[in-house]
Amino acid sequence: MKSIRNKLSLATCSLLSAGNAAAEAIENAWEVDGSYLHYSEDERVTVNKLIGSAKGFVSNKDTATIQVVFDSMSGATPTGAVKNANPLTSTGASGGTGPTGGGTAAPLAEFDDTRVAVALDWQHEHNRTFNMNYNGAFSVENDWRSLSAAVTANKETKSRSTKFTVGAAVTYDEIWRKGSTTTPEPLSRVADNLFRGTGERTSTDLIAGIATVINRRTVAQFNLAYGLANGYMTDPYKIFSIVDENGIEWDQYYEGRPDSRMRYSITAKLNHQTFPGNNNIHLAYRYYGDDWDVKSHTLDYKHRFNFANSHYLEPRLRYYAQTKAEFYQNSFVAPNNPNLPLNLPQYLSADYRLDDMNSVTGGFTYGIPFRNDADLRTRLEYMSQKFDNSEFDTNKALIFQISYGKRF
Amino acid sequence: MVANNNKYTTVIRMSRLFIIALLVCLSGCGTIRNITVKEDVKPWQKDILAQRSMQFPQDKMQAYADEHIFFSKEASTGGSGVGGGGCGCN
Repeated sequence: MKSIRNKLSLATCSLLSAGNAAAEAIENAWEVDGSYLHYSEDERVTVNKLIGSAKGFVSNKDTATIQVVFDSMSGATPTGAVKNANPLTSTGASGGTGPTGGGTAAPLAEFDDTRVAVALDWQHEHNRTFNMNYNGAFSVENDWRSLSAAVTANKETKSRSTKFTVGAAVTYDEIWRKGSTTTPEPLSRVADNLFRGTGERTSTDLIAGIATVINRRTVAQFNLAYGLANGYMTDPYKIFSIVDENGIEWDQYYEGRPDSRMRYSITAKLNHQTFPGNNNIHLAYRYYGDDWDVKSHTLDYKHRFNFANSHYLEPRLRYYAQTKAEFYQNSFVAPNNPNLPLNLPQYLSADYRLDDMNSVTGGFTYGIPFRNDADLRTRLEYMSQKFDNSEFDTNKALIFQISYGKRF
Repeated sequence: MVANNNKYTTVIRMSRLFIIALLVCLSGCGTIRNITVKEDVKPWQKDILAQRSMQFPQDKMQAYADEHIFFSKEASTGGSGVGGGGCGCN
Protein backbone atom coordinates (compact mmCIF):
# COMPACT_ATOMS: atom_id res chain seq x y z
CA MET A 1 0.00 0.00 0.00
CA LYS A 2 2.80 2.32 0.93
CA SER A 3 4.46 1.77 -2.40
CA ILE A 4 1.22 2.49 -4.27
CA ARG A 5 0.89 5.79 -2.43
CA ASN A 6 4.46 6.59 -3.36
CA LYS A 7 3.81 5.93 -6.99
CA LEU A 8 0.66 8.04 -6.98
CA SER A 9 2.38 10.97 -5.35
CA LEU A 10 5.27 10.68 -7.76
CA ALA A 11 2.94 10.35 -10.70
CA THR A 12 1.12 13.55 -9.95
CA CYS A 13 3.82 15.73 -8.50
CA SER A 14 7.22 14.57 -9.54
CA LEU A 15 9.53 16.42 -11.86
CA LEU A 16 11.99 15.27 -14.46
CA SER A 17 14.50 14.28 -11.89
CA ALA A 18 13.92 11.90 -9.03
CA GLY A 19 16.25 14.05 -6.95
CA ASN A 20 13.82 16.93 -6.80
CA ALA A 21 10.58 15.28 -5.93
CA ALA A 22 9.33 16.83 -2.73
CA ALA A 23 6.48 14.37 -2.95
CA GLU A 24 8.95 11.62 -2.21
CA ALA A 25 9.35 13.08 1.24
CA ILE A 26 5.78 12.13 2.03
CA GLU A 27 6.76 8.51 2.34
CA ASN A 28 10.38 8.02 1.29
CA ALA A 29 12.12 9.89 4.06
CA TRP A 30 15.28 7.86 3.57
CA GLU A 31 16.91 5.93 0.79
CA VAL A 32 19.92 3.69 1.23
CA ASP A 33 21.95 2.00 -1.47
CA GLY A 34 24.82 -0.42 -1.22
CA SER A 35 26.87 -1.88 -4.01
CA TYR A 36 29.78 -4.23 -4.58
CA LEU A 37 31.79 -4.12 -7.81
CA HIS A 38 34.36 -6.61 -8.98
CA TYR A 39 36.44 -5.54 -11.97
CA SER A 40 38.96 -8.01 -13.27
CA GLU A 41 41.27 -7.65 -16.26
CA ASP A 42 42.77 -10.63 -18.01
CA GLU A 43 46.01 -11.23 -16.03
CA ARG A 44 46.26 -7.54 -15.09
CA VAL A 45 44.35 -5.21 -12.78
CA THR A 46 41.73 -6.34 -10.24
CA VAL A 47 39.51 -3.86 -8.42
CA ASN A 48 37.05 -4.52 -5.62
CA LYS A 49 34.81 -1.58 -4.86
CA LEU A 50 32.26 -1.03 -2.11
CA ILE A 51 29.83 1.88 -2.37
CA GLY A 52 27.41 2.94 0.35
CA SER A 53 24.96 5.80 0.00
CA ALA A 54 22.27 7.24 2.28
CA LYS A 55 19.87 9.99 1.29
CA GLY A 56 17.47 11.64 3.67
CA PHE A 57 14.99 14.49 3.74
CA VAL A 58 16.23 16.61 6.61
CA SER A 59 13.37 19.07 6.17
CA ASN A 60 10.58 19.51 3.66
CA LYS A 61 12.98 21.69 1.60
CA ASP A 62 16.33 20.00 2.17
CA THR A 63 17.79 16.69 1.12
CA ALA A 64 21.16 15.41 2.29
CA THR A 65 23.13 12.54 0.76
CA ILE A 66 26.31 10.94 1.98
CA GLN A 67 28.28 8.48 -0.12
CA VAL A 68 31.27 6.46 1.02
CA VAL A 69 33.43 4.46 -1.35
CA PHE A 70 36.19 1.98 -0.62
CA ASP A 71 38.38 0.61 -3.41
CA SER A 72 40.98 -2.09 -3.28
CA MET A 73 43.17 -2.27 -6.41
CA SER A 74 45.94 -4.70 -7.23
CA GLY A 75 47.59 -6.55 -10.10
CA ALA A 76 49.88 -5.55 -12.90
CA THR A 77 49.70 -2.60 -15.27
CA PRO A 78 51.82 -1.58 -18.28
CA THR A 79 54.64 0.81 -17.43
CA GLY A 80 54.91 2.20 -20.96
CA ALA A 81 58.18 0.42 -21.73
CA VAL A 82 58.47 -1.84 -24.76
CA LYS A 83 58.41 -5.57 -24.21
CA ASN A 84 62.17 -6.02 -24.22
CA ALA A 85 62.51 -3.45 -21.41
CA ASN A 86 65.49 -3.73 -19.13
CA PRO A 87 64.25 -5.24 -15.84
CA LEU A 88 66.71 -3.17 -13.86
CA THR A 89 65.14 0.12 -14.82
CA SER A 90 61.40 -0.58 -14.98
CA THR A 91 59.41 1.44 -12.47
CA GLY A 92 56.32 0.63 -10.48
CA ALA A 93 52.76 1.72 -11.05
CA SER A 94 50.26 3.70 -9.00
CA GLY A 95 50.69 2.30 -5.53
CA GLY A 96 53.52 0.08 -6.70
CA THR A 97 56.99 -0.33 -5.37
CA GLY A 98 59.11 -2.16 -7.87
CA PRO A 99 59.65 -3.63 -11.26
CA THR A 100 58.54 -6.85 -12.81
CA GLY A 101 58.85 -8.02 -16.37
CA GLY A 102 61.93 -7.45 -18.41
CA GLY A 103 63.86 -9.63 -20.77
CA THR A 104 61.47 -10.89 -23.38
CA ALA A 105 58.50 -10.64 -20.99
CA ALA A 106 56.03 -7.81 -21.07
CA PRO A 107 56.99 -4.83 -18.91
CA LEU A 108 54.22 -4.92 -16.37
CA ALA A 109 54.53 -3.35 -12.93
CA GLU A 110 52.86 -4.89 -9.91
CA PHE A 111 50.89 -2.53 -7.69
CA ASP A 112 48.60 -2.60 -4.72
CA ASP A 113 46.56 0.41 -3.65
CA THR A 114 43.48 1.36 -1.66
CA ARG A 115 41.22 4.35 -2.03
CA VAL A 116 38.66 5.87 0.31
CA ALA A 117 36.28 8.52 -0.96
CA VAL A 118 33.55 10.44 0.84
CA ALA A 119 31.04 12.74 -0.85
CA LEU A 120 28.42 14.95 0.78
CA ASP A 121 25.55 16.39 -1.14
CA TRP A 122 22.99 18.95 0.01
CA GLN A 123 20.00 19.97 -2.03
CA HIS A 124 17.78 22.89 -1.10
CA GLU A 125 14.47 23.59 -2.77
CA HIS A 126 14.01 27.35 -2.98
CA ASN A 127 10.61 27.10 -4.59
CA ARG A 128 8.48 24.70 -6.57
CA THR A 129 10.61 25.05 -9.72
CA PHE A 130 14.06 26.01 -8.45
CA ASN A 131 16.60 24.15 -6.38
CA MET A 132 20.30 24.35 -5.63
CA ASN A 133 22.66 21.47 -5.06
CA TYR A 134 25.92 21.73 -3.09
CA ASN A 135 28.49 18.95 -3.22
CA GLY A 136 31.80 18.34 -1.49
CA ALA A 137 34.02 15.30 -2.04
CA PHE A 138 37.28 13.99 -0.66
CA SER A 139 39.31 10.97 -1.72
CA VAL A 140 42.66 9.62 -0.68
CA GLU A 141 44.98 6.86 -1.93
CA ASN A 142 48.54 5.88 -1.12
CA ASP A 143 49.75 8.24 -3.83
CA TRP A 144 46.89 10.64 -4.49
CA ARG A 145 44.69 13.11 -2.60
CA SER A 146 41.71 14.90 -4.11
CA LEU A 147 39.37 17.55 -2.79
CA SER A 148 36.45 18.98 -4.73
CA ALA A 149 33.46 21.29 -4.34
CA ALA A 150 30.57 21.75 -6.73
CA VAL A 151 27.44 23.89 -7.03
CA THR A 152 24.55 23.08 -9.36
CA ALA A 153 21.38 25.09 -10.01
CA ASN A 154 18.24 23.47 -11.43
CA LYS A 155 15.40 25.57 -12.80
CA GLU A 156 12.20 24.12 -14.23
CA THR A 157 9.60 25.72 -16.42
CA LYS A 158 6.17 26.46 -14.97
CA SER A 159 4.74 23.32 -16.53
CA ARG A 160 7.68 21.37 -15.08
CA SER A 161 8.27 19.67 -18.39
CA THR A 162 11.67 21.21 -19.03
CA LYS A 163 14.57 21.61 -16.63
CA PHE A 164 17.65 23.78 -17.10
CA THR A 165 20.82 22.96 -15.20
CA VAL A 166 24.05 24.86 -14.74
CA GLY A 167 26.88 23.66 -12.56
CA ALA A 168 30.47 24.41 -11.63
CA ALA A 169 33.08 22.37 -9.78
CA VAL A 170 36.60 23.00 -8.56
CA THR A 171 38.96 20.11 -7.82
CA TYR A 172 42.38 20.19 -6.18
CA ASP A 173 44.58 17.09 -6.57
CA GLU A 174 47.92 16.17 -5.06
CA ILE A 175 49.97 13.39 -6.67
CA TRP A 176 53.12 11.62 -5.53
CA ARG A 177 54.82 8.24 -5.75
CA LYS A 178 53.94 5.71 -3.08
CA GLY A 179 56.51 5.58 -0.33
CA SER A 180 57.72 9.14 -0.97
CA THR A 181 56.35 12.64 -1.42
CA THR A 182 57.99 13.17 -4.79
CA THR A 183 57.35 12.82 -8.50
CA PRO A 184 59.96 12.12 -11.19
CA GLU A 185 61.31 14.96 -13.28
CA PRO A 186 59.30 14.71 -16.53
CA LEU A 187 61.33 13.49 -19.50
CA SER A 188 64.31 12.66 -17.31
CA ARG A 189 66.35 9.49 -17.64
CA VAL A 190 65.06 6.79 -15.27
CA ALA A 191 68.60 5.79 -14.27
CA ASP A 192 69.41 9.37 -13.24
CA ASN A 193 66.82 9.30 -10.40
CA LEU A 194 65.82 12.93 -10.73
CA PHE A 195 62.84 13.75 -8.56
CA ARG A 196 60.96 16.86 -7.54
CA GLY A 197 58.15 17.65 -5.13
CA THR A 198 54.55 16.57 -4.95
CA GLY A 199 52.53 17.25 -8.07
CA GLU A 200 49.57 19.62 -7.73
CA ARG A 201 46.68 20.16 -10.08
CA THR A 202 43.64 22.43 -10.06
CA SER A 203 40.66 21.69 -12.29
CA THR A 204 37.55 23.69 -13.04
CA ASP A 205 34.55 22.04 -14.64
CA LEU A 206 31.42 23.70 -15.97
CA ILE A 207 28.24 22.08 -17.22
CA ALA A 208 25.04 23.40 -18.78
CA GLY A 209 22.17 21.10 -19.52
CA ILE A 210 18.55 20.85 -20.47
CA ALA A 211 16.20 17.95 -19.80
CA THR A 212 12.85 17.97 -21.50
CA VAL A 213 9.77 15.81 -21.77
CA ILE A 214 9.13 14.88 -25.41
CA ASN A 215 5.93 12.98 -24.73
CA ARG A 216 4.35 10.72 -22.12
CA ARG A 217 6.88 8.01 -22.83
CA THR A 218 10.01 9.92 -23.73
CA VAL A 219 12.39 12.25 -21.95
CA ALA A 220 15.64 13.65 -23.36
CA GLN A 221 18.67 15.35 -21.85
CA PHE A 222 21.42 17.43 -23.47
CA ASN A 223 24.58 18.53 -21.67
CA LEU A 224 27.48 20.76 -22.65
CA ALA A 225 30.55 20.35 -20.50
CA TYR A 226 33.79 22.30 -20.36
CA GLY A 227 36.80 21.63 -18.18
CA LEU A 228 40.17 23.25 -17.68
CA ALA A 229 42.93 21.62 -15.64
CA ASN A 230 46.26 23.21 -14.75
CA GLY A 231 49.25 21.72 -13.01
CA TYR A 232 50.81 18.29 -12.83
CA MET A 233 49.11 16.14 -15.51
CA THR A 234 51.85 13.52 -15.83
CA ASP A 235 51.62 9.96 -14.49
CA PRO A 236 54.53 9.64 -12.03
CA TYR A 237 54.92 5.92 -12.73
CA LYS A 238 54.81 5.85 -16.52
CA ILE A 239 57.95 5.63 -18.59
CA PHE A 240 58.83 5.19 -22.25
CA SER A 241 61.59 3.34 -24.04
CA ILE A 242 64.31 4.81 -26.19
CA VAL A 243 64.77 2.30 -28.99
CA ASP A 244 67.19 1.99 -31.89
CA GLU A 245 66.10 1.77 -35.52
CA ASN A 246 65.46 -1.97 -35.00
CA GLY A 247 63.08 -1.32 -32.10
CA ILE A 248 65.52 -2.59 -29.49
CA GLU A 249 65.38 -0.62 -26.26
CA TRP A 250 68.62 0.90 -25.05
CA ASP A 251 67.36 3.36 -22.42
CA GLN A 252 64.25 4.47 -20.51
CA TYR A 253 62.87 7.91 -19.65
CA TYR A 254 60.02 9.17 -17.48
CA GLU A 255 57.06 10.45 -19.46
CA GLY A 256 56.09 14.14 -19.59
CA ARG A 257 52.68 15.63 -20.41
CA PRO A 258 51.51 19.23 -20.90
CA ASP A 259 50.74 21.14 -17.71
CA SER A 260 47.24 22.05 -18.83
CA ARG A 261 44.31 20.35 -20.47
CA MET A 262 41.11 21.86 -21.87
CA ARG A 263 38.26 19.41 -22.35
CA TYR A 264 34.79 19.76 -23.77
CA SER A 265 31.94 17.37 -24.46
CA ILE A 266 28.42 17.24 -25.82
CA THR A 267 26.18 14.58 -24.37
CA ALA A 268 22.68 13.55 -25.42
CA LYS A 269 20.57 11.01 -23.55
CA LEU A 270 17.17 9.59 -24.28
CA ASN A 271 14.88 7.48 -22.13
CA HIS A 272 11.82 5.95 -23.73
CA GLN A 273 9.20 3.43 -22.72
CA THR A 274 7.97 1.43 -25.70
CA PHE A 275 4.34 0.93 -26.64
CA PRO A 276 3.18 -1.75 -26.73
CA GLY A 277 5.45 -3.78 -24.52
CA ASN A 278 6.31 -1.17 -21.89
CA ASN A 279 9.99 -1.94 -22.17
CA ASN A 280 12.62 0.77 -21.74
CA ILE A 281 15.14 2.17 -24.17
CA HIS A 282 18.11 4.05 -22.74
CA LEU A 283 20.29 5.64 -25.37
CA ALA A 284 23.24 7.95 -24.77
CA TYR A 285 25.79 9.55 -27.06
CA ARG A 286 28.78 11.70 -26.16
CA TYR A 287 31.23 13.57 -28.33
CA TYR A 288 34.41 14.53 -26.51
CA GLY A 289 37.41 16.61 -27.52
CA ASP A 290 40.40 18.19 -25.80
CA ASP A 291 43.46 20.24 -26.64
CA TRP A 292 45.66 17.14 -26.40
CA ASP A 293 44.01 16.20 -29.70
CA VAL A 294 42.00 13.36 -28.17
CA LYS A 295 38.59 13.08 -29.81
CA SER A 296 36.10 10.39 -28.96
CA HIS A 297 32.64 9.06 -29.65
CA THR A 298 30.70 7.08 -27.06
CA LEU A 299 27.43 5.28 -27.75
CA ASP A 300 25.66 3.51 -24.95
CA TYR A 301 22.48 1.52 -25.53
CA LYS A 302 20.45 -0.33 -22.92
CA HIS A 303 17.19 -2.10 -23.59
CA ARG A 304 15.20 -3.06 -20.53
CA PHE A 305 12.71 -5.90 -20.84
CA ASN A 306 10.15 -5.56 -18.05
CA PHE A 307 8.53 -8.85 -17.06
CA ALA A 308 5.07 -9.40 -15.60
CA ASN A 309 6.50 -10.12 -12.14
CA SER A 310 8.27 -6.70 -12.20
CA HIS A 311 11.69 -8.29 -12.68
CA TYR A 312 13.66 -6.90 -15.59
CA LEU A 313 16.51 -7.91 -17.85
CA GLU A 314 18.57 -5.12 -19.36
CA PRO A 315 21.11 -6.00 -22.07
CA ARG A 316 23.67 -3.30 -22.76
CA LEU A 317 26.05 -2.47 -25.57
CA ARG A 318 28.54 0.38 -25.27
CA TYR A 319 30.89 1.43 -28.04
CA TYR A 320 33.78 3.83 -27.53
CA ALA A 321 36.41 5.06 -29.97
CA GLN A 322 39.14 7.65 -29.44
CA THR A 323 42.00 9.19 -31.36
CA LYS A 324 45.39 9.34 -29.71
CA ALA A 325 46.88 12.30 -27.87
CA GLU A 326 49.23 14.29 -30.07
CA PHE A 327 52.23 13.50 -27.84
CA TYR A 328 51.52 9.77 -27.57
CA GLN A 329 54.27 7.51 -28.89
CA ASN A 330 54.81 3.85 -28.10
CA SER A 331 58.56 4.54 -27.92
CA PHE A 332 61.14 7.08 -29.03
CA VAL A 333 63.51 6.10 -31.83
CA ALA A 334 67.12 7.31 -31.60
CA PRO A 335 70.52 5.89 -32.54
CA ASN A 336 72.09 3.90 -29.73
CA ASN A 337 74.82 6.38 -29.03
CA PRO A 338 74.78 8.15 -25.63
CA ASN A 339 77.07 10.84 -26.98
CA LEU A 340 74.47 12.09 -29.43
CA PRO A 341 71.73 14.45 -28.20
CA LEU A 342 68.32 12.77 -28.00
CA ASN A 343 66.24 15.76 -29.14
CA LEU A 344 63.19 14.56 -27.25
CA PRO A 345 59.93 16.35 -28.02
CA GLN A 346 58.50 18.75 -25.44
CA TYR A 347 55.96 16.14 -24.31
CA LEU A 348 55.89 12.39 -24.69
CA SER A 349 53.85 9.60 -23.14
CA ALA A 350 53.56 5.89 -23.95
CA ASP A 351 50.50 5.44 -21.70
CA TYR A 352 48.27 3.01 -23.63
CA ARG A 353 45.16 4.94 -22.55
CA LEU A 354 46.26 7.87 -24.71
CA ASP A 355 46.60 5.70 -27.84
CA ASP A 356 44.09 5.29 -30.69
CA MET A 357 41.51 3.01 -29.15
CA ASN A 358 38.30 1.10 -29.82
CA SER A 359 36.38 -0.36 -26.93
CA VAL A 360 33.22 -2.45 -26.77
CA THR A 361 31.42 -3.28 -23.54
CA GLY A 362 28.49 -5.68 -23.56
CA GLY A 363 26.48 -7.48 -20.93
CA PHE A 364 23.26 -7.34 -18.99
CA THR A 365 21.65 -6.31 -15.71
CA TYR A 366 18.96 -8.30 -13.96
CA GLY A 367 16.73 -6.42 -11.52
CA ILE A 368 14.44 -7.82 -8.85
CA PRO A 369 12.13 -5.47 -6.95
CA PHE A 370 10.80 -6.47 -3.55
CA ARG A 371 7.51 -5.63 -1.91
CA ASN A 372 9.07 -3.59 0.87
CA ASP A 373 10.26 -0.84 -1.49
CA ALA A 374 13.62 -2.46 -2.04
CA ASP A 375 15.36 -3.83 -5.10
CA LEU A 376 18.35 -5.93 -6.06
CA ARG A 377 20.30 -5.36 -9.29
CA THR A 378 23.00 -7.64 -10.62
CA ARG A 379 25.06 -6.94 -13.70
CA LEU A 380 27.66 -8.83 -15.63
CA GLU A 381 29.58 -7.18 -18.46
CA TYR A 382 32.64 -7.80 -20.56
CA MET A 383 34.86 -5.01 -21.86
CA SER A 384 37.21 -5.46 -24.79
CA GLN A 385 39.66 -2.68 -25.71
CA LYS A 386 41.91 -2.58 -28.75
CA PHE A 387 44.84 -0.20 -29.18
CA ASP A 388 46.55 0.67 -32.45
CA ASN A 389 50.12 1.36 -31.38
CA SER A 390 50.56 0.25 -27.79
CA GLU A 391 52.87 -2.51 -26.70
CA PHE A 392 49.82 -4.23 -25.23
CA ASP A 393 47.34 -4.05 -28.07
CA THR A 394 44.34 -5.37 -26.11
CA ASN A 395 42.80 -5.15 -22.67
CA LYS A 396 39.89 -7.36 -21.66
CA ALA A 397 37.97 -7.08 -18.42
CA LEU A 398 35.04 -8.68 -16.64
CA ILE A 399 32.72 -6.40 -14.68
CA PHE A 400 30.41 -7.79 -12.00
CA GLN A 401 28.27 -5.57 -9.80
CA ILE A 402 25.53 -6.29 -7.30
CA SER A 403 23.51 -3.45 -5.75
CA TYR A 404 20.75 -3.31 -3.19
CA GLY A 405 18.52 -0.30 -2.59
CA LYS A 406 15.89 0.33 0.06
CA ARG A 407 13.54 3.23 0.57
CA PHE A 408 12.01 3.88 4.00
CA MET B 1 48.94 13.60 -38.80
CA VAL B 2 47.70 11.73 -41.88
CA ALA B 3 47.50 8.53 -39.86
CA ASN B 4 45.55 10.38 -37.18
CA ASN B 5 43.08 11.71 -39.75
CA ASN B 6 42.62 8.21 -41.18
CA LYS B 7 41.98 6.91 -37.72
CA TYR B 8 39.48 9.68 -37.05
CA THR B 9 37.66 8.85 -40.28
CA THR B 10 37.47 5.23 -39.17
CA VAL B 11 36.06 6.32 -35.82
CA ILE B 12 33.38 8.39 -37.53
CA ARG B 13 32.52 5.57 -39.95
CA MET B 14 32.18 3.02 -37.16
CA SER B 15 30.05 5.40 -35.10
CA ARG B 16 27.81 6.05 -38.11
CA LEU B 17 27.43 2.31 -38.68
CA PHE B 18 26.45 1.88 -35.04
CA ILE B 19 23.88 4.69 -35.26
CA ILE B 20 22.43 3.39 -38.54
CA ALA B 21 22.14 -0.14 -37.15
CA LEU B 22 20.42 1.24 -34.08
CA LEU B 23 18.01 3.38 -36.11
CA VAL B 24 17.13 0.46 -38.39
CA CYS B 25 16.48 -1.68 -35.34
CA LEU B 26 14.32 0.96 -33.68
CA SER B 27 12.40 1.92 -36.80
CA GLY B 28 11.68 -1.77 -37.39
CA CYS B 29 9.47 -1.78 -34.34
CA GLY B 30 7.91 1.62 -35.06
CA THR B 31 9.67 3.15 -32.08
CA ILE B 32 11.16 6.17 -33.86
CA ARG B 33 7.72 7.69 -34.38
CA ASN B 34 6.76 7.12 -30.74
CA ILE B 35 9.95 8.80 -29.59
CA THR B 36 9.86 11.86 -31.81
CA VAL B 37 6.19 12.90 -31.61
CA LYS B 38 6.03 15.89 -29.29
CA GLU B 39 3.14 15.97 -26.79
CA ASP B 40 2.01 18.37 -24.12
CA VAL B 41 2.16 16.19 -21.01
CA LYS B 42 -0.08 17.17 -18.11
CA PRO B 43 1.05 16.56 -14.52
CA TRP B 44 -1.39 13.69 -14.10
CA GLN B 45 0.06 12.04 -17.22
CA LYS B 46 3.55 11.73 -15.75
CA ASP B 47 3.11 8.27 -14.30
CA ILE B 48 5.55 6.69 -16.76
CA LEU B 49 8.01 9.59 -16.59
CA ALA B 50 8.07 9.32 -12.81
CA GLN B 51 9.29 5.75 -12.86
CA ARG B 52 12.83 5.15 -11.71
CA SER B 53 13.72 3.62 -15.05
CA MET B 54 12.99 6.97 -16.75
CA GLN B 55 15.36 9.03 -14.61
CA PHE B 56 18.90 10.23 -15.44
CA PRO B 57 20.65 8.06 -14.35
CA GLN B 58 18.45 5.03 -13.88
CA ASP B 59 20.86 3.40 -11.42
CA LYS B 60 23.19 5.70 -9.49
CA MET B 61 25.36 2.85 -8.21
CA GLN B 62 25.96 1.55 -11.70
CA ALA B 63 26.54 5.03 -13.10
CA TYR B 64 29.12 5.80 -10.40
CA ALA B 65 30.98 2.53 -11.01
CA ASP B 66 30.91 3.06 -14.78
CA GLU B 67 32.32 6.54 -14.41
CA HIS B 68 35.25 5.20 -12.40
CA ILE B 69 35.96 2.31 -14.79
CA PHE B 70 35.81 4.29 -18.01
CA PHE B 71 37.62 7.30 -16.51
CA SER B 72 40.46 4.94 -15.58
CA LYS B 73 40.65 3.11 -18.91
CA GLU B 74 39.89 5.81 -21.49
CA ALA B 75 41.23 9.30 -22.19
CA SER B 76 37.77 10.91 -22.21
CA THR B 77 35.60 11.77 -19.24
CA GLY B 78 32.69 13.92 -18.12
CA GLY B 79 29.43 15.01 -19.65
CA SER B 80 26.97 13.80 -17.05
CA GLY B 81 27.58 16.18 -14.17
CA VAL B 82 30.14 17.99 -12.06
CA GLY B 83 31.69 17.20 -8.70
CA GLY B 84 33.15 14.10 -7.13
CA GLY B 85 36.73 13.14 -6.42
CA GLY B 86 39.59 12.16 -8.70
CA CYS B 87 41.83 9.14 -8.60
CA GLY B 88 45.23 7.99 -9.80
CA CYS B 89 43.87 4.84 -11.35
CA ASN B 90 45.81 2.43 -13.50
